[in-house]
Amino acid sequence: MIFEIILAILLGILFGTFTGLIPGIHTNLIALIMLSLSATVLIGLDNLVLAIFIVAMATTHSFLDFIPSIYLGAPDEDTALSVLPGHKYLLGGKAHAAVKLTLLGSASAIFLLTIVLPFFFLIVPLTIDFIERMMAWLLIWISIFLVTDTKNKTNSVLIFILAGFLGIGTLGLNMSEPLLPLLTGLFGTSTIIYSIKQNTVPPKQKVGKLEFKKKELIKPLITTMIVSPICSFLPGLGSSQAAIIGSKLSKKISEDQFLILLGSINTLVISTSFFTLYLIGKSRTGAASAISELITITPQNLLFISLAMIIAASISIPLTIQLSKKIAKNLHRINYDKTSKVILLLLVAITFAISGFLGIFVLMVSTCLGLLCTLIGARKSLLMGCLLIPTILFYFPF
Amino acid sequence: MSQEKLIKLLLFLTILGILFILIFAQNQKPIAEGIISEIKTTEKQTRITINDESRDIILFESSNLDLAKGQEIRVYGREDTYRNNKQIIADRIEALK
Repeated sequence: MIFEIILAILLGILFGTFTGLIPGIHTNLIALIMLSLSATVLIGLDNLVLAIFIVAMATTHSFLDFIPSIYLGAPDEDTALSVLPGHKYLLGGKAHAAVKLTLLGSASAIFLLTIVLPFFFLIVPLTIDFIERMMAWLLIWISIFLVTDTKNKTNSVLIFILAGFLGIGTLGLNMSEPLLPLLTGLFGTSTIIYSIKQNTVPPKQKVGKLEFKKKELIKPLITTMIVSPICSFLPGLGSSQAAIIGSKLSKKISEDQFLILLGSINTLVISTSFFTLYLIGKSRTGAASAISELITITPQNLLFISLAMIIAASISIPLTIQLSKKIAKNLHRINYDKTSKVILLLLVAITFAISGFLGIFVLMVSTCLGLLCTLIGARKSLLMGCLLIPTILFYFPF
Repeated sequence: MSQEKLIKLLLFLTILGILFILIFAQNQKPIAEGIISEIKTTEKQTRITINDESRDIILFESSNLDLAKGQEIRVYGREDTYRNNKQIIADRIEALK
C-alpha cells in the first residue's frame, strides 16, 4: 500500500507538471478521466491511491500553472488575472522573476495552511448552517462586487449574464460531464485561439536572483489568510474571484505583491478545499469533487492527503524554478503556434470522447463567449457567472 | 475582419448558441421512465429507485416533491458516476399517473 501511495504521489506530480505546463489542460480534466477509468480500467486499485494521485496532481498544478499564463499569455480559470502583470514582466524580460513571485506565494500558502487550519476547523462547523441559509445572498453580493469592480460595467454585466445563461442551459443538458466543455471553452480554447492570433515575440529573458523585500510579503499573505478559506467553502468561487476580492481588501498593492497574492490564493484555495470536504462534505474544487466520488474523507485519509500535499509541494518548488529557468532561456525556440494548434485539437478530441456532439456544441458556444470577453476587454473571471448564477438559483429560497 | 465586426459576430453566435442550448435543455428526451419501487428523502436530496432501472435517481431540489411508492414517473436529467456506481442526476421529474 505504501509503495502504491508513493508511486501515486510521484505520478500525480508528473501529471500535475503536464497539466500545469500545457495551457487548456486542467487538473479537473485528468481527474474526470481518472474517475471514468476507476470504474473500468483501474478497477481493483484502491480508491485512496487514486485520490492521493489527484491531490498530488492538483497541488503540483497550482505551482506550475502560472508558467503558461506568464510566458504564453494562456491562463486557466485560476490564473487568468496573472496574464496582464505577467505579460508586462515578459515584455520587460523578467518572466522568470514573475514565476518566482507566484511561487513564493504558493510556497508561503503551504505554511499559511498550518495557521489557517485550526481556525478553519473551529469556525466552519459553527457557521456553516448560517452560511448555507445566507448562501444565495452572499453569492449575489459577491457577484455584484465582481461586476461593479470594473471600468466598463455594461460589458461586465453582459458577459456575466451571458455566462449565467450558458451555465443554466449547459447544466440542464442530458450530457456527460457538462462542466468539461463549458470551462474548457470559456477559459482554455478561447485563450489559446486568442494567443495564436496575437503573435507576440517576447525579448530575451533574464534569469537572475529575485530582488524582493521580505516585509512586502506581509500584506498579500494576510489577505490570503482571510479570503481563501471563505472562497474555499462558497460554491462557484475560484482563485481568480478570491484574488479580486483580496486585492480590493488590501487596497494599494504593488505588481510584485499582486503576483504573490495570486500564487498564495491559488494554492491555499485548492488545499483548503480538501479540508472543506472533510468538514462539511461539500466539494468546492474539481479535484475535491473527484476525491469525494472516490473515498469518504476520514481523519486517516485526511492525513494521507496532507502528506501528499506537502511532498508534492516540496518537489514542485524546485521543479517549477528549474522548468521556468529552462523555458526562459529557450523561449525563442518554442514554436508556440504549432504547440497551440496541437493542444486545441487535443481538447476537442477529449471533449468529444467524454461529452459527445452536444459537448462539442457547448465547447463552440463557450469558446465564442470566452473570445468575446477577451476582445471587449472584460475580466475573464466574470465568466464564472456560468457557475455563480446557477448556484444562486439553486440556493435561492423562493 | 475588423475587431468591431468580429465582436458583433461573436456576440451574435454566442446569443444564438445559448438560445439553442436553452431550448435543447427544455425539450430533451427523458432519461428514464418507470414505477417507483423505493423513495428516500433526506434534508439535502431525494433518492428514487424505479423498476427496470439499475441506476438510482438523485434529485437535489426536493422541496414540495409529491411522489410516492408505486407511482409512474418520467425523469429528465443526466447520467453521473458516484463512487464507481452509475446514477441519474434529475433536473425534473414528471408524475405520469
